[in-house]
Amino acid sequence: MTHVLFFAAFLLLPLFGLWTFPWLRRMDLGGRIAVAFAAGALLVAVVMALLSLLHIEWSRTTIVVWSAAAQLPLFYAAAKLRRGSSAAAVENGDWRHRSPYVIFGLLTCYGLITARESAGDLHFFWGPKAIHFFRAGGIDLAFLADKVNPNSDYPPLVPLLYAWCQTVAHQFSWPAAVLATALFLFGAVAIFRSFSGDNLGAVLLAATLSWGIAIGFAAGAADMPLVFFETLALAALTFIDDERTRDILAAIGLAGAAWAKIEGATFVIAVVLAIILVQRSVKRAAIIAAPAIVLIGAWVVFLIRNGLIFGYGGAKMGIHLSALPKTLALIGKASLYELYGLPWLVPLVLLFLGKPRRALLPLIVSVLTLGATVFFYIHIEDPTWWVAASAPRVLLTPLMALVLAASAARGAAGSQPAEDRPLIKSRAYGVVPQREEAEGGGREAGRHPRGALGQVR
Amino acid sequence: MDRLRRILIYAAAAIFAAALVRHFYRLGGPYFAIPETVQDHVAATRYPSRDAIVLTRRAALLIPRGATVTVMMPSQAPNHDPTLYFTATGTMPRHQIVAPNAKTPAQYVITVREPLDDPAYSLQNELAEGKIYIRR
Repeated sequence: MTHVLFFAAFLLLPLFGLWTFPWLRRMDLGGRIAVAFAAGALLVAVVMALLSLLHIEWSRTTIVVWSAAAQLPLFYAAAKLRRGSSAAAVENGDWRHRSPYVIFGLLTCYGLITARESAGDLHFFWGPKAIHFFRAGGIDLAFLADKVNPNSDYPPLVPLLYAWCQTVAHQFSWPAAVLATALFLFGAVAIFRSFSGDNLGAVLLAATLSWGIAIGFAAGAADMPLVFFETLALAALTFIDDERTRDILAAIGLAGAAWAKIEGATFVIAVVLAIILVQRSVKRAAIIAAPAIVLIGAWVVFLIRNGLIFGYGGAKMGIHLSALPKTLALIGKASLYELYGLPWLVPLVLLFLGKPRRALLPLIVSVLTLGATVFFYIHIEDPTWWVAASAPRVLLTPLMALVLAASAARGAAGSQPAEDRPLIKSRAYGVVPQREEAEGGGREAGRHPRGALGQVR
Repeated sequence: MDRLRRILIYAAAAIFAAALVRHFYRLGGPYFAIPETVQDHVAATRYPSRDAIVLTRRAALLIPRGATVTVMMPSQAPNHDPTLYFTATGTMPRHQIVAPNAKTPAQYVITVREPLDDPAYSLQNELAEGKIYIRR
């Protein structure tokens, strides 16, 4: 029963992200639920952290009531903002090719249930942190300060989510924590498929991530939650045309990534740099990254005030350039993923068969996060063990970004520059042609030089 | 172009699926049984940390709450594997987990797979995965 309740607590999280629905009216149900799952997970984690700061002990009632209350202003803001942004130009792909999703879903669930993909980090520190947080009824400072707890300053999202599940179930479930990885995998694929309308690309992402999780033994650790939030941010920035919807979803994704793992902070930096390079908009980059910066800043201030800096303090460590050749060789070997580098080769071939120029943003993010991985590893003189233990998991981020880039480079509508598209397909209202009223906006699209689409961008 | 893309992706997906089946097979059986711990099949040969999970779960019921406890493989001294006692912080949250080389020796020592040759401790329980010792 504990296992069922613990897992069910994850399934409740989309209820706390329903406030995103007004932006997602054109998206299919899978994509909507996945975005609500991301928003709900982030909201519940932030609420739990705030309750802890306010010394309000966690319980099912307090977390549910405060999280539900926190949704109300967000609902209001979402409904109000939506009126100004009449259409999220998200095209829906069809589900004709369901069998690959089913196959990879079943294979991954088999691997998770039979304990063939579990991360050691789950029972070394992610799980213990959550257990001690639950027992303390809040973030347990005494445990974080204890020397037997490694990585005490890692961002709190995953332990907070596990503590939420434990609050619902009253006990920690190790198998359910492992199985939850499947939800983050399905969520990432659903978001990518919904935003891009690219069924084939989603099949490739499902296959690649399924293999990466298995080879990297990533289940139960923070790697898949990180990739899930990163996929939300990057897919929104790459495929969604409506500026306001895109920026808000990207901001949620970046904030979640930043609070999932330390690597999330480097992802935020990579995305900011990519936006500045590709779209030449420092202001927009700053707005999108603002929630992530606030969350990281708050966590770092909390750590500094309590003398808990460890991983973030690694930035002060010296760089061992002499370790670079060996590090590159080790990462090169790990990046083969025991399959001759197939996870990289396929998206690379697809990228160059398409138009890479269209995929600049995810491509730059992929390159930058790959570079950041190398940069991290050369902070110790001999990173052999570190690379072997973590590279296949850490490389999931640039890999996911590359698969998104390959999809963006294709000639289909989802990645096509908006100027080239005269029509928006709308499931609710059919096709909105130029010179007719755009749905919800109440304005005549014909007055805009770029037609209906230009009006809503 | 679309056809080539479709062929490439489906071919890659087929390879990934086949590789996953092979990978799961190589990690060993039993293939259709619920494992005892989440670490049971992450390697063809069981990791000591898997045994540490089983041991510490049972030890949590045998050792008085609040006692100081450490987990180790004596043969690794003095470079003990920290993941063994890290594991105990999750499975024995009501106990005070300390490192094997802590300044104040632990009241209880859980040894994974190996006996402890230390006159300061006496054997309290013997389990399949290891032993529990109490400080004399």
